[in-house]
Amino acid sequence: MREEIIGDYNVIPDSLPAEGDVFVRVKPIDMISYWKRCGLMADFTASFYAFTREDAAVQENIISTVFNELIENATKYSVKRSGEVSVNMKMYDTVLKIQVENQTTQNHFAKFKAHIQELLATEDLDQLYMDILVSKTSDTPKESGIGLLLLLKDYGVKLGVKFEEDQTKDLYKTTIQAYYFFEN
Amino acid sequence: MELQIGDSQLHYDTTNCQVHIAGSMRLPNMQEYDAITQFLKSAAAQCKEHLTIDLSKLNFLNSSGITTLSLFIIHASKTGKPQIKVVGSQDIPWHTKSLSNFKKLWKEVALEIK
Repeated sequence: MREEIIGDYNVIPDSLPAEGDVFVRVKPIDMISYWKRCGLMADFTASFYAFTREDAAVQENIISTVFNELIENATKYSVKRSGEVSVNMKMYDTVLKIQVENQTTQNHFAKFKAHIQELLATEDLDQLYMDILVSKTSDTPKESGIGLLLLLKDYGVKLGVKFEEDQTKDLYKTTIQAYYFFEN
Repeated sequence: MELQIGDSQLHYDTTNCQVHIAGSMRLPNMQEYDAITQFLKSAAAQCKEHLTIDLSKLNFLNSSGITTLSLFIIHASKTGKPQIKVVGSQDIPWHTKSLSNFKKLWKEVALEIK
């Protein structure tokens, strides 16, 4: 198994006890069959953690938005029938760590890695945002989306990704960690 | 003109050239958003000078939806028409965080967060 880590991964290690720990595992096919389930999961997990906050409605909306982008991506690009998407959300005082694990195809694995490398290396996220969108109106559109970019740019989320591959087993696994910092 | 799609509702008011989008819009992909693009293009065809897109009751819009609106704005920017005003709400975080991105795509976009 070959492993590569890009970005802010394990900023908060699993060994640190969390104040809240929610784990959910779903089959991508169930989400794709009924897409609304992505939003339902996002809304549930958001309210689970946000209701204790003073600005609960605001935080609920933000967490739901962040979670929804992560679960939509993981679902869309998973090995549809045999794969699983695992989501682990841990609360640490003012930081919410969302970890999403899935198995994907070799093709998407390579594209996603290139996208993450570009995303985390760029010094100007605004420019990248414009470049991606403007390219989509051109003859050579960029394939990458703007979901993760918006989380970094507009929500101050920190992202890290672990890429694991075993070509002999046709196994391509990605584990993305998103850290959302509650605004005080 | 009305459109109900998923958990969202679109209403186009011809009298004041305003498109109102409300609810939660989290469609799975860009193909599904074609209906929204067509709705906006149809409104723009009738309101050639000014078009207001009122999002102040749109609680959620996923990144495919933001891409769809962004592409509509880029498209309008190429001809300069219609001039677009986007209305958002101070109470909805994605509005305060992300709506200003539209101005980066076309600086002529007017933005009102109320």
